Amino acid sequence: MRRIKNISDDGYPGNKPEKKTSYSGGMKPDPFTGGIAHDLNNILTTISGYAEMMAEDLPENSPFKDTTIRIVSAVARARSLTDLMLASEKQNKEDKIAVNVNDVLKESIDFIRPSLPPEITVNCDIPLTEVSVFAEPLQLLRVFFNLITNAVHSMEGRGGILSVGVRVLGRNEVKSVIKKYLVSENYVAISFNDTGSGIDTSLKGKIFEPYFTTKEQGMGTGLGLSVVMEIVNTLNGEVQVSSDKNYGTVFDIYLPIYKEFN
Amino acid sequence: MSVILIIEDDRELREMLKTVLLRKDYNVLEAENGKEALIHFKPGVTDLVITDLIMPEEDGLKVLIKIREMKKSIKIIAISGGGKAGPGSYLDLAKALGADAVFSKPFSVNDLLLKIENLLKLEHSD
Repeated sequence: MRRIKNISDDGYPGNKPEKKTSYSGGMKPDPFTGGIAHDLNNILTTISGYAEMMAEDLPENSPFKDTTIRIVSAVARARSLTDLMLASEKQNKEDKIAVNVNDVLKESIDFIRPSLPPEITVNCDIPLTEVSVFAEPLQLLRVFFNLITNAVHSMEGRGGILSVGVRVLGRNEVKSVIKKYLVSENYVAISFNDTGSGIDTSLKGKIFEPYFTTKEQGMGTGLGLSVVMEIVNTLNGEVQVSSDKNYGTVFDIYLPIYKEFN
Repeated sequence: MSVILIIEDDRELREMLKTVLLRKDYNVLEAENGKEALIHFKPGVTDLVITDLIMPEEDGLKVLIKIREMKKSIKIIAISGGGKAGPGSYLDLAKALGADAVFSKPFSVNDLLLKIENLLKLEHSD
């Protein structure tokens, strides 16, 4: 069994989980860095919006035309600062608790199911037993949402089936499947298997890069899979992907189990 | 002309968006939070919704789901300035929950207008 420093016997760094929960909605900005960045972004949008309107109203030869461009570029510079504030706030914040993977996965699917096109079916194989990991529920929800959304997009127009499954890996299987350093004897595998368009071989190396997207402007941030990778990494887990162009894609998320209840 | 509902708790920003849209001859409805929007939302009247995500009373994700339930064909644009986990995350969730487009604040109003125009063209061709 491979182990790393600062990992307790139950496989979890730092404080032990105190409670189990799942995402139940509701969002409020934090009162400190994140909240300030949020409010600043509102103000910046107002400033750049009026500057753009001024630019539209000014005649082409107006000396103030250049001024409006300077305002908009100053807003862009300020945005890079608010991005830093948000990133810094995120790093400093730790809200991990013991969370039941199955509850969050079911919630994710229930949220998305009403907006599914009729030609797309979601099949679930989620056990009734609790499988707990040490995570922020919202983070876990983001991972599942992003993967389900990508699967749905890959099947839009052509139809298909998304099969979502959860299973617990025992000690021997863990060693043969997980490539990373092991932090627990047991892992949970959450699988998202779609029959969509698949990933082009030339793009496979890029899909986890931030801002990489094949979608049109405004239809996605290009952060979906990079966010998945980032979150799974922070949870000491692993993402594996296999894809056949025109036949579909399988994303397997492996997360260390906090404790399994039978 | 199309009717656009703006749901945004920041008054100055809501006023700016309203001005931009009125200049392009859209009819504008406004709500300062999700709860107010849901009370006054009229599926037969509204063509497109621009909703903030982080708001008091009722957050934008819940509003998005409820409005989509009330009018399946409505076009929804989610906007966000961040919060606890950064703008990309909430916008990802909004997209997953059925937003037709997402914009991270601060965004270009010209890009927003272009997206509105395209979405409304799609709605009318449906």
